Amino acid sequence: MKGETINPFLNRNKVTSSEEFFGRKKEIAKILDRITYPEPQSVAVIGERRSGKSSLLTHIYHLLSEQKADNPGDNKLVCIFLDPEEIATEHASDMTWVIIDELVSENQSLLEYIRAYPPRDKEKAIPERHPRIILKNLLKEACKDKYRFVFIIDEFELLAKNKELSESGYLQYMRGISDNYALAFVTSSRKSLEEICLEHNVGASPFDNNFSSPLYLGLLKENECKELIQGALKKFGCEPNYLSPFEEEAIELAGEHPYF
Amino acid sequence: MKIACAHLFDWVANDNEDKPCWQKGFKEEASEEFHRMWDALDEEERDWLLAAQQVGYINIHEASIHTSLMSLVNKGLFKHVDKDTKLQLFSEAFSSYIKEHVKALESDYEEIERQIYGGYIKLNLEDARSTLEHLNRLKAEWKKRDKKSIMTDNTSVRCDHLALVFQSLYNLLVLMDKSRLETMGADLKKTALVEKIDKQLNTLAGYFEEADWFGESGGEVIELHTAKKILDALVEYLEEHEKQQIFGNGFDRVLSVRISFMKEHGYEKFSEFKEEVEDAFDRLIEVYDYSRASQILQIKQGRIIQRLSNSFFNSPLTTIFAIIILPFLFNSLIIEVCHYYNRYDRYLPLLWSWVVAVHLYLIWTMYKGALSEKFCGLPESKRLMRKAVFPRTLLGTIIGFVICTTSVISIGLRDDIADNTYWILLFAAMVGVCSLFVVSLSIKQKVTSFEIAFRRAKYFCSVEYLKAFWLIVIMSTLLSVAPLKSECLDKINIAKGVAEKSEPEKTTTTVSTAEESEPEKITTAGNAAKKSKHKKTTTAGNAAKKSKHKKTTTTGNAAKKSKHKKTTIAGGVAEESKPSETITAGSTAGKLKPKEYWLSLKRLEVWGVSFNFPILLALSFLAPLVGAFKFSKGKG
Repeated sequence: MKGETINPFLNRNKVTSSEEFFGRKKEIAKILDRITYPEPQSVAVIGERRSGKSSLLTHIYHLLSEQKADNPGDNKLVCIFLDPEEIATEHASDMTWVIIDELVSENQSLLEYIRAYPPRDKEKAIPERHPRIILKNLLKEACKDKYRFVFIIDEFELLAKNKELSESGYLQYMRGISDNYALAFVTSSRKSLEEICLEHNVGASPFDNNFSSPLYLGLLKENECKELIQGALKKFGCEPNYLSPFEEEAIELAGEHPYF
Repeated sequence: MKIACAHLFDWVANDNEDKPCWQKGFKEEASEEFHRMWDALDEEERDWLLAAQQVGYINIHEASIHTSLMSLVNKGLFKHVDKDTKLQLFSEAFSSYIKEHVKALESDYEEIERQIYGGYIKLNLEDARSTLEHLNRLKAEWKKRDKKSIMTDNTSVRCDHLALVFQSLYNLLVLMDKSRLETMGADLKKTALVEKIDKQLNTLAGYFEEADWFGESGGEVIELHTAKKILDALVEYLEEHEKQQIFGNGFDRVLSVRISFMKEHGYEKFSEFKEEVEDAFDRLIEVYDYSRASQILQIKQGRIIQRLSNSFFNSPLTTIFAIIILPFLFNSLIIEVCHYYNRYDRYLPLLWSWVVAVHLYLIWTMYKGALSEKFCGLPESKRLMRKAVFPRTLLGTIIGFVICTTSVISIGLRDDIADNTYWILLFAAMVGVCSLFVVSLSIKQKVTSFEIAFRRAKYFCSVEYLKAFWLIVIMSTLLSVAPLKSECLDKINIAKGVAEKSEPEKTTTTVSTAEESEPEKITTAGNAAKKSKHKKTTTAGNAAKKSKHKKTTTTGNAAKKSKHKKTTIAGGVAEESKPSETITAGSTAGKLKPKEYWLSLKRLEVWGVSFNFPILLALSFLAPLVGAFKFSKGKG
């Protein structure tokens, strides 16, 4: 084993593969319960840096994708993952186009709804509002056909920090469409949405109003730590019990923190 | 786990070259990460966490657990870290923190508070002082955070309450501390010390009354737990110092608030505490003077009296007026009215009406007092007052009222005054009713032990109002019986009979027993005397004398001077008198000089019969009001 096997714990970035994600079963179950509900419920995941928020959200996204792949007949739940780096600096109109683009690439059949509802009067319409109307109509018509939508937004702070978005009332618009259509958000942030909105003066209508109680991401349980260690070892072709004599010590030292 | 396991894996894969190596490598990397995390925090978050770390008491809000954990650890490294001690500090900060705080916080947030609540009552100055300091520091930090606080408002309020309770408790403990007590004893008079302690206890009780810190069933358990702790601590203190008399009603208040809280919330639910609290209370009774200990249960009743007394007495002058002058004025007024209308038979009904009115006023005052927001403070206290205290007080008042009025009416209605049997029976009936009242209260309290029942009955008899009540009963009876044996009352009754038969236009003569007198001497008796329309002088009242020098003195509460020089002498023994020589008193008070009027009253007092009623009524007022005064002075 010496020198032949790659150290399974060297990845310090977010976990992008479901196979490398361990633990957090309770949290995952909670999130899935809420977003797969007939009327999807929004969830805010709150946790410190390096607590695994992004990994969890990515894992959720993969789970939903896998679910869809396993059951192609049920493709009515459309889930998109909005990359924070990508959307943080966007203008409001561009942001909407990003969302529309993501939706369509996720489910091609949604294109029909866009074609069916082009802007009625191109000359009179305000250009910035075109994509919003398009998105709204898309959601409206798709929901009539029993589509449900989940927007996963990692690092919500970045979105709230975008002045262009907050000044144009973009978050109010987002809240409006989630109120009216079968749309849920799954956000992750270090602080609560309420605090973030207060901090960045995001609109009069609180974005977090229609979120269910937040999900706090704390430390791992002891058994989850062991699962992480053994699972990672197994994935990289090591004996799951390779580190078992030192597991307890490592867990104690790291304080059951997923990163440390 | 990733950092630790990465280093561990390398270390294992490299044949355990140097055992501490993997830990060292981990800690170096983790430390850097901690620093980054620390730097990423807002400044106020860092301040808060530093304060939280200093007090060892971390914010409980779930969202901050992680922040707290990371930042505290980070802080530990940030502040003290150097190359040599990094390992040790990390281990201490991280492991101990996780073990002692975070797990407890995550698993049971209330447990932490329970620990604090459970521990704060210790009669340990150092503990109290340090806890208070911690809380104040924490509170200051929390206040800084304002709306952005990650705490909820409720938590903030709770923290304020806690700090106040601790402050009060600390002050109390300072006062109670033995050495301090001795030092202060040299400087201060005992009363001043008692006042200080009482003040603190009252403050503390106020916080308990206000405190709805939890609002859930778990909170009630804590409340009970706290109550038990308070009882224990105070009993312990009393046992140790044997200063049973040192506390005033502040101590009572603390306990009564706690006990009423438990009763109100049905402490059967908390069986594990019920027995403990009851035991503590029993111990308290043993140590404490029983009558005072049991007053804890009834302290509210005392406060009604206090309230009553407060509403009555705004100044000493009012007090004197209420106790002494008012009955005289009322009695005189009634007699005047009777006299004016020439209806002596209305004297007693009017007097009776007055008694009714006064008692209704008493009841109304008590009712107002019982429902007063100022007095009751909290809805739960109000409910308690409505359910328990007010009915009892009302019952006591009604019984007092019935007995008083019965006495008054009976005096007026009985023809055969000489028969003492009636009064003895009446007195026995009153004693019986009062005993039943006491026993019923004991039964109501579900007192099973005869001894305790007796003690409690004794207590009820010793409550100020009931003391006053007994005084009224005894004094009323004695004063009703003794003077009325005299023939004077017969005279009243006969006069009443005569009055009914006499023509309205004619003089009413009121000499009752028609005593024969010397021609030059006329004694007129009765309650009043009035001049007739037909130039006849009516001499009435309890007694009237005509002087040998043909001076007609009409006495009693009322008498009028004849305008037309004609005097009708009652009972056929009338003798003409010279109007110029007639001196009237009582009802003609307006015509008399004040000094003469008061002199006439004094004489009435000597003669007794009609003055019997003012005395009786004055005493019936005096007694409860004195009792009320005692309460208002805080001796109840």
